[in-house]
This record gives sequence, C-alpha cells and structure tokens, in this order.
Amino acid sequence: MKQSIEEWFGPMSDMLNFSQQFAKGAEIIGRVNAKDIEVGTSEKTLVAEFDKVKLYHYKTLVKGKPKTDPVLIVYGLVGRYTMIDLQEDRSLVRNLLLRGVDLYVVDWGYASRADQYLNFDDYVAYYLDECVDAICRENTIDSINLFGICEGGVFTTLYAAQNPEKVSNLVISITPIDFAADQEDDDPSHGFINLWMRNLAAEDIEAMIEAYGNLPGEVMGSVFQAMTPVKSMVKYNLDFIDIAADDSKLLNFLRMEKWLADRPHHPGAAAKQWLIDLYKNNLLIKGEFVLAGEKVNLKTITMPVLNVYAERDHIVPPPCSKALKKYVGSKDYTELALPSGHVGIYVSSRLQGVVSDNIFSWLSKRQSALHQ
Amino acid sequence: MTDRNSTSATSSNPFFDAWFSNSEQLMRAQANWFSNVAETAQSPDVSEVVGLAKQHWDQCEAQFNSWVTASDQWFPPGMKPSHEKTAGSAGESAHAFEKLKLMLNPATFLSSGIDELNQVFQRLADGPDFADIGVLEKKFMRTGQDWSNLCNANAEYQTVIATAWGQAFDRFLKEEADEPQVESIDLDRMMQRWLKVANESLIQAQRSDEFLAAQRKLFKTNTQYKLKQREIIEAWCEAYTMPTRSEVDDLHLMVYELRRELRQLKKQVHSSKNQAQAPQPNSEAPESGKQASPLKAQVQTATVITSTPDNQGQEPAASSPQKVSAVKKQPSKEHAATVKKAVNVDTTNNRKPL
Repeated sequence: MKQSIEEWFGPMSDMLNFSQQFAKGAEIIGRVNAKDIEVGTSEKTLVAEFDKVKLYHYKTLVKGKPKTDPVLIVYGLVGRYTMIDLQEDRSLVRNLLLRGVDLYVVDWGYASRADQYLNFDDYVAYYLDECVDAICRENTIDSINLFGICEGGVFTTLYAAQNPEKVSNLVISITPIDFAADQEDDDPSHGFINLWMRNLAAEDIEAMIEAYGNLPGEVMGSVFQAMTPVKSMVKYNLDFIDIAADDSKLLNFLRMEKWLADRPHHPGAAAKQWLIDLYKNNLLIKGEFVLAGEKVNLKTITMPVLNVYAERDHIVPPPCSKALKKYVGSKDYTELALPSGHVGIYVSSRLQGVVSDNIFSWLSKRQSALHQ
Repeated sequence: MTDRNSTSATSSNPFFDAWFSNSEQLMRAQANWFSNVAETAQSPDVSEVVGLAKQHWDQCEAQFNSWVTASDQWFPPGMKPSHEKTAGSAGESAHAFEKLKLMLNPATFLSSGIDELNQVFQRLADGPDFADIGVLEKKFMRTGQDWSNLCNANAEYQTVIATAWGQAFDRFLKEEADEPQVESIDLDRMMQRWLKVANESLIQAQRSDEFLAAQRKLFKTNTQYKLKQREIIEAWCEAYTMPTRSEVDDLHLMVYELRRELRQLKKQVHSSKNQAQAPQPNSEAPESGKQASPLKAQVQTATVITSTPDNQGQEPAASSPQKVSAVKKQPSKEHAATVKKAVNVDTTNNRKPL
C-alpha cells in the first residue's frame, strides 16, 4: 500500500516541484523590471558624435592617473558593444577600468534603412578615424591603442594597416582574418557562417540586401541559433527550468537574452563587403580588399599585436583568427588562446578577469614611460 | 528487472496525463510548419514537394507516437523507480521521461535553431498584418509563381530536417537496443544520448549537400518573393501617387552622397586654412633635403588647432611623455599621408560634423 501511495504521490510531488520551480521563475520575471537587467551600465561620458556614431570615455575606477595610454574598444556591427559590459560581475570594461586602463568605446548606433549605403570606408576610414583623432586631441597624443572585437577586430586591423602611425598597439579578439581557414578546423560544429556564405551566390547575397536594404538583425540572429541546433532546442525549456530556480542565474540569463535580442541591422553596403568580399571571397588575406580607394596590405601592421582567440569558438574558428600571424608585418606578435567559446571570453564567470589581466599585462609592457 | 516489452495495464494518473497532454499541445503549437503546409497545400500552384514533405513529417510523427505508446507501457504512470535511485525517484523518473519525450518529439526540431532561419525569412517575407491593409496584395502574391517557389523551397528545407530527425531517431534506437540490459532504465542517460545524437545528426545535416542546396534555394526564393512583393506594392503606391520604397531609397542615397561630399569639402576647407596658417619656409627652415619639416609644422599646427574645451585643464602637453614621444617620431612616407589626413580633420565642430 505504501508503494502504491509513493507511486501516486511521487509523480504528483515531482509535478508540484516542477510547477513550483516554474512559478518561481515566473514570479521573478514578473517582478523584474528593465532596470534589473540593464546592460552596459559602466559610467561613461560622451566625447564626440558623428551622425549615429558616438564615442564614449569610461569613467576611471582607480585613483590617480591612468596606467595605460588610451584604449579604444571597437565592436562590430553585427551585435552591440554592451556584450563587454553585461553586468557588474561579468564586465570586461569594468575589469579593465579596475586595472587602470584609460578606456574609450565606440557605439555604432542602430542602422536604419537610411544607413544602408554606409560601407567599410565610412566606418573605418571616416568614423573610426574621427574617433581616433578625437581621442588624440583630447589627450594631446598622436597615437592610441586599438582593441577590436569580432567584426570590430577587422575594422581595427584595416585601420592599423592604413594608419600604422596612429596605432601604438593593436589588440584584436575573436576576429576572423582568413575567412576560409574554417576548413582547417576539425570540429564540424565550427565555421557554419563561413561554409554557408561560400554556399551562396554573390548575386543572391546582393539581392537579399537589395530586398531588405540592410542585413536584417533577425537574419543574423537566426543564423547564430542555427549554428548550435541542440543548444537552441533546449534553451527555453530544459535549460530554462533549471535556470529559473535561481534568482541570480535567471537575471544573468535575461541580461544575455536582452543582449542577444538587441541585434541591430547591419548596414547594407557594409554587409555586402562583410559577406561577399570577406566571407565569400576572402579578399583581406589576398591583399585585395580595398579601403578608401587603396588595397589593404597587412604587412604595414608593424606595431605590437595581441591576438586573443577562443579555442572553442564556433562562430570564428581559431584558424581564422590565428591566420593573422602569417600576414602582419609586426615583429612583436602575441597570441592568447582562451578555453572558451566566442562570447564566453567576455561573459563567462570562469574567465572573468583573465582577459583583462592578460591585456593589461601585455599593454603595460608596451606603454610610454609615463605608465611604467 | 524492468521489462521494456511489458504490456501490463496501467492506471491513469490525472496529473501525469494532464501534463503530458499540455506538453504535446505546446509542442504542436510550436510546430507552425504543419499549419503552413496545410495552408500552402491548398494553393493550386504548389507542387508535390510540399505534399511529400508533409508525408515525411507525418512519418516522423507516427514513428515518434509509436515510440511514445510503447514507452508509456514501459513507464506506467505509477513509474517503476530505478534501482539506483533513492527516495522520490519515481517523481524524478516521471519528470525525466516527460523531458525525454519533449526532446524526442520531431516538432522540437522545428522549434530549434535549424529552422529559425526559415521562420525568420517567412516572417520577413510576409510582414505583419494590419487589419485589411495589403490583404489583397498578399492574396495576389500567393497566387504567383514566386510564392509557389518559396513554398517548395520551404518544403525541401523542412524535408532535410525531417530526414535528420529520422536518422537521429534510428541511431538513437539502435544504440539503445545495443546497450546491454540493465537493472533499470536510466532516463537521464537516455536524454543525454538523444541530445548528443540529435546534435551530431543536425550538425552533419547542416553540412550536407542536400542541406546546402535547400538553404541556397530557400534564400534565393525568399529574396525573389520579397522583391516581387516590393514591385507589386510599388505599383500600388504609384497608382495612388504615394512615394515608393525605391524613391525613398534614392533619397537616402542622395543624402548619403551629399554627406560624403560635404565631408570632403570641409576637409579641403580646413586643409587650406591650415596651410595658410602654417609657417612658410624661410630662413628658420631646417636644412634642405629634410622633407619631414613641413609635415612636422603641420602636426604642430594641427595640435594647436585641435585644442578643444574637452582637453582644457589637463596637463600641459609639453610635460606629457606621450607628447614628447609624438614630437620625436620620425615622419615616414606613410606618416606624411596620415598627417595630411589628420590636419584635414574637421575640428570646428567635431560633435556634429554634418
């Protein structure tokens, strides 16, 4: 009889627990307001503004003078820069500031159809150049440190190649350089964007961008989801139920979801260059990518280079990033491999501090006498 | 030992049944593709591909349902607890079994990432419905060849996913069957096995020639449909003397080009001003042959000119080692070009150049 009751009440109890867990999650979500899941909250001031592009200077978190020359963080157009400042305990920005880095960031804004003609010339040779000049003016210097992330890493690489004297040190992370090197990666889950872009005809990509004006943020979002099919399959059911039981985990999850949902459209002309010239035709390493009327030669990158990549990066496979070593002219080239995925470098609790420690340490050895 | 083939009668647990029923309904609700297929199948222009795709998915669903029926008999609502488990394991088993069923359901493949691109394309192509606006145009579009092509491409794409599910399911069953009989069924292990098999199957499918061809076709037909839709809407706009998308895009292009031109003109103006303000080569000029001198003068000029309220109150530039470093720098040929560029920068209003 006892067994029978257990048989009856066991599942009931489990259902009850399940429902309670779900209800708790729903209750937390119910009382969460926008402020609780704000991202990109580190204090910063607007330094300059060019059309929709804004240059910010982060407020220092240490007393006294900064311990480094200015560092400009350049994110790509595929997502928002807020990923590097997701929350207080998962923030590359905060970790760098706590180490005394003088930090700036460029916010590309939200492209609308009115911005569909903006291309790499505009973003790199004009907006980024304006940002660098503004920082140089503000600090009365003639060069700064650039720190590019993902597509922003390509921007900074292009900029450094054409303006080597304005870049003291170049740091790039999770950045594709050789867009065909995914084929050297043995992991079949890596490099789907590379494979799928090679699969499409250039005229079809052009027609798609013609049809929508820009590369819609939703399309890129769906491509990212398709790259990890089972992860996407369990995310909002199995995983969510576990997460919902813990306030802190749930808020982390919601902040990450907020960042993922905040995916701007990629300006059309720049998207054509990104997908066709780079992903499909791999022009950068061939020395055929044209910026501001000139072919970009990576050999002109002679300043110290730190290349940070993720060993389990399925979006930018490690060989695509590591290829930079073969093409730059710099004799001071360093690689930093991290045991993580693409975004994990910045949002993983395990790696908090690791990236910032390494970047700070690397930069400190290469700064002017003032900071040594 | 648990007999997986047991057909003993099971007592009904209303909570369990209700939960299972809800899960099924939830998954069915997510599988909007079935309704899409039903809708498109009514279109006279849609080929047999859609029907075949539906058959394929029906087979997947039937395969899944037969497994559910069989497994319901292995795990009656009372749930035989695993020998390895401790108190409360019956409840855990029920929970784990539900999760396993949820994950094994072919409809879950359609709600996973692999079909996300397809769904996004559908949403983008169709756009939102606002009352009766554009209903006629949408109906008109759906009678056209482009819509038919899109439906076929969609069906082919879905068939690749269905094939992946079928292969994964077969492999899962085979691996389960190959497993030596154990004292009890470990549902967590089964779940992990299924997720691993499903992941590998989908990853493999997404690299297959069939998938790549289907993806290419879906991408192309979606674009063609969208462009055709635009053509029809623009014809409608023109008929009612409203601005068309193409006209607005022309305006955007014009504004974009004017802005670029304005930037260039501003740079030229400031370049001229800077050259006028720069010290002229005279007796104070450095020795001849040192081409760096005019450039250095330009640098100094630029530095003075670019003083802004933002850097007032800071340390004098001369005391900054960075400044010293800058002055010491030997201008190269490349530097010359860059300095020229730096001097040309708009400095009168760097917050809003345009």
